[in-house]
Amino acid sequence: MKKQLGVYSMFDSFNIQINNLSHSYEEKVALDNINWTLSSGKIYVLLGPNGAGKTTFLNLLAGSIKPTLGTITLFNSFGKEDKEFLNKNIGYLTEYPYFYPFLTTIEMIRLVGQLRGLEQGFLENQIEKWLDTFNLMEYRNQPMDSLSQGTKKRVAFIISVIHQPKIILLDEPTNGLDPKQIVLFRNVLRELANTGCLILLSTHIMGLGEKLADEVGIIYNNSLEYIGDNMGNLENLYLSITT
Amino acid sequence: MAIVVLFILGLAYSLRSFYPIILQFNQPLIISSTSLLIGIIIGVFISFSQYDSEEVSFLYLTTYKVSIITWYYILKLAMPIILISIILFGSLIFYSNYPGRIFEYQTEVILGGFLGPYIFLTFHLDKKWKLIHLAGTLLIVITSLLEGHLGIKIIASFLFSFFFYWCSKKSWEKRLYEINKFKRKKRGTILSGNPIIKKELILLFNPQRIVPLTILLVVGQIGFLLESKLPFNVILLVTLILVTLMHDAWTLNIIGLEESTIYLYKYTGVSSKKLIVKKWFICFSLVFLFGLSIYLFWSIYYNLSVVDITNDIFQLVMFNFVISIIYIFIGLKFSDFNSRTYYRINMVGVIISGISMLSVFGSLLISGKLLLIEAIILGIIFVRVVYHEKTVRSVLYV
Repeated sequence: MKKQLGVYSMFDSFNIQINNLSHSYEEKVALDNINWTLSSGKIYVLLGPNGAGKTTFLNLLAGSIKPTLGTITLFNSFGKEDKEFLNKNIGYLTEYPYFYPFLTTIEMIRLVGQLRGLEQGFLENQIEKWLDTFNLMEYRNQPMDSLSQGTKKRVAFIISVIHQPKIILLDEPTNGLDPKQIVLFRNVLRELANTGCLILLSTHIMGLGEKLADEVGIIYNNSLEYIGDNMGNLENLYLSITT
Repeated sequence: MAIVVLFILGLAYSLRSFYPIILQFNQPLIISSTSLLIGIIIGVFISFSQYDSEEVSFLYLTTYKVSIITWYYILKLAMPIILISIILFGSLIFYSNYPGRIFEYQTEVILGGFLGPYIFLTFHLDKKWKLIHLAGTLLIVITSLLEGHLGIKIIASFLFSFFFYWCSKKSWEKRLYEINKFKRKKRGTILSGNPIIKKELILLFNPQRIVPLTILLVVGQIGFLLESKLPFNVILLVTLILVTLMHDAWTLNIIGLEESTIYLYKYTGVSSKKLIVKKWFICFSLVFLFGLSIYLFWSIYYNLSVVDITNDIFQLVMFNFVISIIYIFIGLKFSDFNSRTYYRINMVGVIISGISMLSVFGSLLISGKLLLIEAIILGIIFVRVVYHEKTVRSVLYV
């Protein structure tokens, strides 16, 4: 039976324009001269070896670090400095999400919703629907520190989309999920993309990329070495670029 | 838990030094500065122990509002400072017939509580804000010199709150960027060849452990200096309490029970007895070094005879040995895997360690020889437990 997603309405189309984006940590270059245009309604999968700069790229898009050079233009009109705008439009699931161990699942999600300034009725409605979507109703009153890794990951995903962001950034989102949950997760992402969300996720799992990506980007040696449509057989493509 | 106990004891220790000064109201400027200093130490301790970089990242990526993080950390600082101030005020009021003056000193303590963390903000400000920051610091320091002007001090506090808020906010803006920075790989140090010792030392000198101990050390020693008529036996006793607290902060929670060490045992087949003995030796030596330094300083200050010094050092070694062994046993037996993914001593362990400490102190008061007997018995048990690999592993693999 198909479950209803959280209250997600259709968005108008938009782009993210990335021009000559570079980032350095002191003398170490983490990303060098990235150019990419991403469009709403699509799922982008970012591949690359460990330490290639995937997380830095996501952090730059999320606005948690500033580019050393280059620009990121969101929605063609807003600058990256507009924090209110980022708060409203970006949902970011980090690789190691943070939880208050003493809060229950529902309290943790509610806390984030309240911090984001969501209207109470809307928030409660969202919580119920998302918990149902991810089969988390039975865990709603359990403290976070008693949950398994996979359950925590699902809660973290709900937290990152509870405010209906137009841009969803996911860093290794399926770590800790079992195969059944990965299928559910894939379906949810596709449904979100169909509503007009732009989804960018980094992963090491080629199978996930093949099944999910509309477009693929491969970061290697701190540069975006490949951008292109998902033509299948990502493993061969990945190995040919990174070896 | 240990950190709370440590803090309360630390506070009691500070008050112990503070009461006699308050009674001598003929040196108001010193009292005022001391109040400010005590506040600074309390404030720095609280802000160090409250800081959590992961939580800050989470709050930022959830809200993108620096003001929320700023207010949250102001509240995290303000609540314990106000609580401690109420306790301190309640305690001090019985020592004076001048509640107005006590209230003034109390204001200094609270201001110091905010001034301490405020001083550290300067490291994350640009030049323009550093100047504004300096003006805020001077405002508090200068008004603390104005004895008997409570009204001016309250106005200064009000002004200072604006400095504090804006400098905090600017500092957070810069720090949020730094939190997400890569930590660059440093060149190999002398300890690179021995990562086990390096890991232990990094854990031991974690700011959350070392700051309260430093506070105890500094405040206690200042207290002794200000009150030079203190009998030497009291100094010895306080040194022994300090030894206990150091083991409480280090040995009890460090001795091989953090998750990484458990995995090290499980997956590498490294000898657990070797690791435990190494950890014990590091803790024992460090604590002994600290304890001995404090003791020697004061014994020279008091001009004690060599015979007395030798006798006391012997007691110090025995005491240190007994406490460290007891804490290892408690650490091995009464630890739980808690939510922060670390093995920490549980409530039963805390109670048993408290009872054990009272017993050891009791036996010390009865006779130094009793301590020697305890040391020998515990030493034998320690050797037997550690050299029975299976016993150690079964405890670790629960």
